[in-house]
Amino acid sequence: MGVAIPVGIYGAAFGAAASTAGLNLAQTISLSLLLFSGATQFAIVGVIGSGGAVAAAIATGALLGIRNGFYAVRMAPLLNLRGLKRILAAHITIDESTAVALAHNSNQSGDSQSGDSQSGESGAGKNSDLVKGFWFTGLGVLLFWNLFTLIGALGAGALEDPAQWGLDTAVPAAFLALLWPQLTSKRLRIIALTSVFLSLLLAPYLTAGLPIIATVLIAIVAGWRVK
Amino acid sequence: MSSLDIWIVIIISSLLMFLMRIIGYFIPQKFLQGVRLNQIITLIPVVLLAALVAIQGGTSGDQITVDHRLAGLAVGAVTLYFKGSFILVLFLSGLTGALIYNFI
Repeated sequence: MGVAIPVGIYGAAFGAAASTAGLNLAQTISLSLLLFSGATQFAIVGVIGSGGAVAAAIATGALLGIRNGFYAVRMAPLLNLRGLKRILAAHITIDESTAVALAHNSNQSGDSQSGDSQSGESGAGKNSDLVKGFWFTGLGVLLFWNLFTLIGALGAGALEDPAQWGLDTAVPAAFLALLWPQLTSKRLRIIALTSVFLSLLLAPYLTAGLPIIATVLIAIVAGWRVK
Repeated sequence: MSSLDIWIVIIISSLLMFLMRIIGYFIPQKFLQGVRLNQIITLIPVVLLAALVAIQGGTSGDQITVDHRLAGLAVGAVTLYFKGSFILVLFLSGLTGALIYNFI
């Protein structure tokens, strides 16, 4: 719940932004419920608000959403789900649920030179915190994000500026705190720092979403070099 | 954009998002077995989350910005270095960010 609440309250800012951009209440809530990805939702209402075209709104949103697809590939073997559960898990595969789950991943095998040890990842007891972290965070954010989207869309002025409450700082700080325990070796710390620099370097030149996705190149180069 | 256009954006974007997410869960694990591929997949969330912190904390639109968020993140990093709890990191970072934003 530690992440779900501050991130959820941010939903009020989204609700307000969506109303300002000209979305009605049903449209605003539909985005939070059906699309459910904060950065993508802000980007889409941003394009709509600035008078952009349908295709531009969809394309911009998709660019910001790609990273959820990458998270899904990483989470699939860790959660090891069957059948319909995969559908719900997919819907709540977001930055927050992935970050919390991986912060609990005692077997951070990105560190081992032998690659992923499948035996460690399928061990049930070891993984229970990881699995719990994923579901609690994903469902918690889903609940609070939608609740506060509604509050924001109905015009809760006090919550419209997240910076006033320190939320625009607390949210990246939460991701930093979740990433921190994953950086268990010098190699991983260098990889993370390189990613910070590359994304900032690209930010002025690439459209929203791409500077983050581009850092996958670092993962490819670093992963490829493993013997 | 008309109201109908907005609905089209919402429906198509939601479907696209769901598709991008669900594919990850339905790729048979046997296709993702190689040591290199495994390493890459394991590293991807690390680089994405690091970049997310940088973009959320250090940019506004396409500008690199140094403001209350970066100060709060620095306080958060120091708190993490001294093994502060998750909630403490959130609280001290948020407080720093809010104080600077509101009063400086």
